[in-house]
Amino acid sequence: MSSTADNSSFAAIEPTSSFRQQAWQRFRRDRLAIAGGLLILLFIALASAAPLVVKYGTQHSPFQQHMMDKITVGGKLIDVVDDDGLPVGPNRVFLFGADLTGRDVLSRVIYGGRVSLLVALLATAVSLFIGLVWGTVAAYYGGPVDATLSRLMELMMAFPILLLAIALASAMQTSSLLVVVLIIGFVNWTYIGRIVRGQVLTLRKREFVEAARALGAGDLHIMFRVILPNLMAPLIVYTTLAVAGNILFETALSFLGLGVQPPTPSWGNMIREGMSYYNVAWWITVFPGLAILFTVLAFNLLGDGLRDALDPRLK
Amino acid sequence: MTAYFMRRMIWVALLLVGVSLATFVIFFLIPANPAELVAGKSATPEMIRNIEHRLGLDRPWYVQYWRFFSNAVRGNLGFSYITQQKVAPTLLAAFPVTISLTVGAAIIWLAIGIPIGILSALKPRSLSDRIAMIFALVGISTPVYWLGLVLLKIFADALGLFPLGDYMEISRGGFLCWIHHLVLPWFTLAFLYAGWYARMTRTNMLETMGEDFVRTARAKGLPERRVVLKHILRNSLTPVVTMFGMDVGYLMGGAVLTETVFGLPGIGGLAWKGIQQRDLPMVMGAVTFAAVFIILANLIVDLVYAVLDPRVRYR
Repeated sequence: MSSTADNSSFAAIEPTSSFRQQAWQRFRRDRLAIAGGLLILLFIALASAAPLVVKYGTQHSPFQQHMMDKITVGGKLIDVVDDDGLPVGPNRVFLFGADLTGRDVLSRVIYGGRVSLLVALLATAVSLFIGLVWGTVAAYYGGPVDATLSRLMELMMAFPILLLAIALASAMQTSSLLVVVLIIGFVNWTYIGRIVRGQVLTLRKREFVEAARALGAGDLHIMFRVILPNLMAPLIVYTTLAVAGNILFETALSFLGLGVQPPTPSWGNMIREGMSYYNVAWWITVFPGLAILFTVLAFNLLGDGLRDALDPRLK
Repeated sequence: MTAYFMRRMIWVALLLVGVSLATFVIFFLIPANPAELVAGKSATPEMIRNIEHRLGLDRPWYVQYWRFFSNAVRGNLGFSYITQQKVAPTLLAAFPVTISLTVGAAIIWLAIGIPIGILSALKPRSLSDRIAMIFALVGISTPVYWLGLVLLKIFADALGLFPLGDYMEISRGGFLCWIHHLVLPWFTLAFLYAGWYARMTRTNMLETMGEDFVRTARAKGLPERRVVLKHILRNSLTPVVTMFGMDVGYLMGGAVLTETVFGLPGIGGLAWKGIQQRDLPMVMGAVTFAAVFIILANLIVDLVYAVLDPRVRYR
């Protein structure tokens, strides 16, 4: 390779790295976004190390039923589930209380996080993939290709998506993790597809794209090696925000009884199980709900912070 | 304008065909035989075959779809497999519940969200802005069904201020009783949307404030009040109005989660029950009904835009 080519590629990298540094500077000052990021790391760590956390931390398995057991609280020996079938509320032994069959709510919340986070992250990857390819191809080729793909996207957006997801989930008649991931990814991709299309529409007319074409680059190369790197900033931002939305979506599906099936705990199905007893045992519903709220909040905080850092025009 | 209108109408018709076709195909894939559901548990194979024939289930799928579609155009959505009632009147009977929920919630979220967004944008990065934006972020991060349960626990069960779910028609219980039954569902739904609207209003206001015409208005020496109300607010609320049209259209098709938690017998409740019972005509009807509102809302928003902004018509 000639030295001029080296120089020109070096010159091309220079402004991006300083843009990155500036973005990082801006991001570092955003305390809420940092808090969101740390919270996410904490939740992911808890979820992935759930068996260890449960073994050494809460010391109750999420499946162990303590129907006949008694525990000591404040020097008194009490039932975990009393004769009326009411479980104990939060105490020193069961920090988040017990559910109707005497299972530890805290351990179940930790295990539930595995399902919700895994499904939401994988589903976002599915949406990202479809949205990215769809939006890029539509905007890059334009004309009849764009017209067709955009019309199909509009058709997709005309659906009531929650109803569509519920219908698909019950039509499949299985509730394996993979099916739920594919359904959520499939009904939510238009969000990213629209953003990608809009970005590529403006990018494809820029000089560096012309330059790549003049150098003889093929369509695929231009779309995914020349244009795609320039989409990174919006993609990072909207993918983070999409994860937040997908966690809410997954938990809503499993609240309706369509996600992962009991006894495997998920935040949504725990709320569903606790729903009928919220007036006597509020802790069964409140804690998984708070877990959802804080996880979604953390992703939204991080996403907002990333947007402010990567897109300084706003704010 | 007429040509634009005609183009839009043709597209609306195509969207409706597309949505109903897609829904039909999804439910055609369900392995369960609806005839067995209609026939009941003690049916002989002979009876099931008879019912299959009567419902047209032994015909190819495109024949079945055509029958569904040609009837639907005439407002006949068929009969429920479960209750044997006509689907269209059942949906229409449930519609007032969904309208009541949507309209009430919409008034509340506009009344809360937009003023918060405006005040935040006028003093960006101030303490009140930060608090308001965290409040908005919590709103969009809260699972709506869980919030419903928490509000029920606090205000209905513990304080006894509101009934535990259920719906009361104005004709049966009077105006005040109707409101009394809907206050909790309204606020539950509105809390989520108020968060979105506050954020959106604020972002749009801030963006508009940076525009040249705002600087010009100030340079002309217009009083600040007039600049904010006439120039900034007016221009930044257009996307909010668009969003409002879409959201209301979407909710008119049934708020499945909110209706489920509060036991409201609206469109969303019917759709959900239909899916659980594999009541194909009811689900098809509800999805089509919901899609009609989403498409109509889109159309209205587009037409309003075309009237306000002549450039749109010639695209």
